[in-house]
Amino acid sequence: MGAKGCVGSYGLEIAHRLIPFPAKHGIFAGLHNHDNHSDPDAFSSEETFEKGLAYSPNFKATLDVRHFTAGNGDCLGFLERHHERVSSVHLGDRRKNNGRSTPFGEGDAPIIEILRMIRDNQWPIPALLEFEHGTLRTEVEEVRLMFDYCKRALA
Amino acid sequence: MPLGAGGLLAQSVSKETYDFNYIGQPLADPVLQHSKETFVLFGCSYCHGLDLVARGEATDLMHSRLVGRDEDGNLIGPLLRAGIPQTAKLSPMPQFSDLSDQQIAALVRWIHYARQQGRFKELTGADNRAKGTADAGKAYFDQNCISCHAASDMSKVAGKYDAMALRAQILNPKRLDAPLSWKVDRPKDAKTESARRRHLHLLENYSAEEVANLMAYLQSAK
Repeated sequence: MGAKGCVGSYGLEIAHRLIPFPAKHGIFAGLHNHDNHSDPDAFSSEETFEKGLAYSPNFKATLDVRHFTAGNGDCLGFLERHHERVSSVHLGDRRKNNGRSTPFGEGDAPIIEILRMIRDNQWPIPALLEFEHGTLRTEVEEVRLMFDYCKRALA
Repeated sequence: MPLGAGGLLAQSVSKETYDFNYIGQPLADPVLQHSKETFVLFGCSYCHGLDLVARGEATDLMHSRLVGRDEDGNLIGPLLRAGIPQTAKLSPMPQFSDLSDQQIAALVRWIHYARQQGRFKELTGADNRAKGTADAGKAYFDQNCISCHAASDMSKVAGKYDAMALRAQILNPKRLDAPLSWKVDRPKDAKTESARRRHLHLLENYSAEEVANLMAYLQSAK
């Protein structure tokens, strides 16, 4: 099918069982984080990502900015240190300390800085818009506003 | 632009971009409409469902015991402010500590209203119309209803309705519908308001079996 990788929301245990498969199929396996620090198996912090990435060179981090921020993670620091192992970023906004999801620019996620860091360093990291916050607008309209926000961030 | 009750919108949205498909047409009661929109706007409906039909890992608010015990947000409010950060496997529920008391009250109002609507639908549905036992119904009546209703009055009520209408009356007595007027001289009928709250609380917590038993008891007393 031509896919370069396969991303999933699993934890360390499943990731360990997946070790042989990416190489077998010539793809990467993406490790996607949430913000559940109380589950030692979950990808939620830089440390848990590092554990998972150490399992295989074919594993990559799919950094969910929204959840990483809610879990009080340092998105910019993570990108700076691990950008070569980042398959993509999921862009969304949330407030720190397990805070709620918000429209772009109303939370604590450094969306503008992330986009500019990726662009200015010419890292081949796609940024995916992830629409999971509440709105009274239609989905199409809301995503259009999110896209506009990103375009203005990179103007 | 006013959208029915949408003049109360917390988010600036035009009629063209308002998500009617998801949120539905405005409700007659603007306070409830505002509560519904607040529930959408803060993302609660994303996990718990606008009509409390939960998606994925989220708690089923339609049947949650905590919601059933809540009175005016005394349990839900603190939980919303704190969130549920520690869960063994499930995604944590975010905290909403930055919301105003009014916003929390709106969320609580919508949760209870949607639960009452959902429970009514559920308890009048074909799956929940099994026959109950009159003795068990009497025991329930004596424990929960007798402080306001005399058994003899209830037998008269039972005689006025067919089975479906009686069931609906037990669950949500029509004469206790919420007033929409905020005129300052509106009748302040504390007894009716108290009865309305009591019935809505029961509606949120009845089991199908309890309703069936009550039906059997009231019908036997016709």
